Amino acid sequence: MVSAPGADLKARLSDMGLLSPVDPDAYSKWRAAPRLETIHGRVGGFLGNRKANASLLLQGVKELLNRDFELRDGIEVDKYVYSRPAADDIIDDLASQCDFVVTCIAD
Amino acid sequence: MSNMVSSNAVDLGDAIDLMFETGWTDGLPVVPPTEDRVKKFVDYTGRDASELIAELPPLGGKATVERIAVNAVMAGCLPEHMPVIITALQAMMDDRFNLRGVMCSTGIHTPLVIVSGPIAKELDINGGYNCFGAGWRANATIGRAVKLALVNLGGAIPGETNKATFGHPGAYTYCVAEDQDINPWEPLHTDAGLEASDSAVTVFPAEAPHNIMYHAKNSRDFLTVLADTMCTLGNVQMYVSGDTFVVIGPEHAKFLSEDGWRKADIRQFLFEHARKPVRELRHGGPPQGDADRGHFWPRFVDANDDDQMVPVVRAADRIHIMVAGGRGGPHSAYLPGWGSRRVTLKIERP
Repeated sequence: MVSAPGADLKARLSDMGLLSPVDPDAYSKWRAAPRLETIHGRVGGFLGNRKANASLLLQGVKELLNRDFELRDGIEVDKYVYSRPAADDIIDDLASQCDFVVTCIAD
Repeated sequence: MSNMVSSNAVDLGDAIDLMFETGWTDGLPVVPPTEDRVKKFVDYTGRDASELIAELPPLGGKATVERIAVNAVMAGCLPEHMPVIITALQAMMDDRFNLRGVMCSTGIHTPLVIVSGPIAKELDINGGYNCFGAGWRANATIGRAVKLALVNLGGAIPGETNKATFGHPGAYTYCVAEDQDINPWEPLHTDAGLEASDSAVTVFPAEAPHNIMYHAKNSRDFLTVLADTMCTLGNVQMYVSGDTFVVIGPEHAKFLSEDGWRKADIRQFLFEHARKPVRELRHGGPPQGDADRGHFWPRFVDANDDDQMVPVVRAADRIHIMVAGGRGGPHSAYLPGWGSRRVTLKIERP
């Protein structure tokens, strides 16, 4: 596991005259989105990656969430290309319409 | 950089252990990146230590000249290797390369660094016997420096953000030179519009080299054998249609060129012969594709017609040809790609 150097590690590196090969900000700037108190009655987004099994998986998740949390709506959308990040227009649409988004990776 | 400390002052074992402890190595010991050694690498470039070269995906770490130098020192490089490493990272940032996808995919590819032009010989980057193997410091350490940077700065962490099912031995290092002494054609980088006298880095997400053995000297037969190897049903190329690479060994290159085959002729032959019918490709599962068409195959292929022949790439110029390898062996190699493009950049010397 790669990690950014904490205070103790920085001191040990300094003692040895060594430099760090990482950008510490790269590891601290990624955080989980704020958690909702509940998803009951909320609008969910389901962002697929266009792989063959993604829509099956997301459809199953959507059905389970609908059953257990009575979602107000479920919006399904696919990325344009599975190996690239979702385009800004897709992210903006989901952000404007949804309270939370479920996505998937791999095959 | 203050508090300059000589590498002699560092307990080597402690320093190596610390690098393991942090998770900043590739699993092998690294050269401890002492401030004085890193400074020599930065100074060689003639650039400012804080100059930003790239924000490497997936995590977007800022690859400054100094941080790249730290990774190069750790890899065991020489200062003279820095321009090659910097150019390789810049090339990978080209959107056509899709570095984020390359580094996070479940596939078995890894970025390959190909050096062509005069600098390959100057730095003793091997393009001859055992060129994909071990034994040359420049190949081993330049390739390793790039891979360390992609993990340490880019955050492509194996098993976390890097989801490769198997990984690739070339994830430790994957760097080769084109050997212009045995190349009967123009250098690889001239395909990208550079001058033959330039030095350049080409980057390409490649699987491991697959050997093509051919003992006779019939050009069409050899290219037929090569084409057949390129279009196997398990080759990811047949489904994603990215660029692909052929490494022609010196013996094969010699008879091809003496027989009048230019690189353009070879590309065209392979484009027309490295094909499989839609009927057979259905064994590989449903076509995966882009939003508009439902598949990545060339537009001239009717995906609903079982008899249509699907080429290994979308167009002949997506087949890239370089010459390398040891003399005397009846071998060439095929490097399947992943789905993105080859990128070539000129090396700017300090």
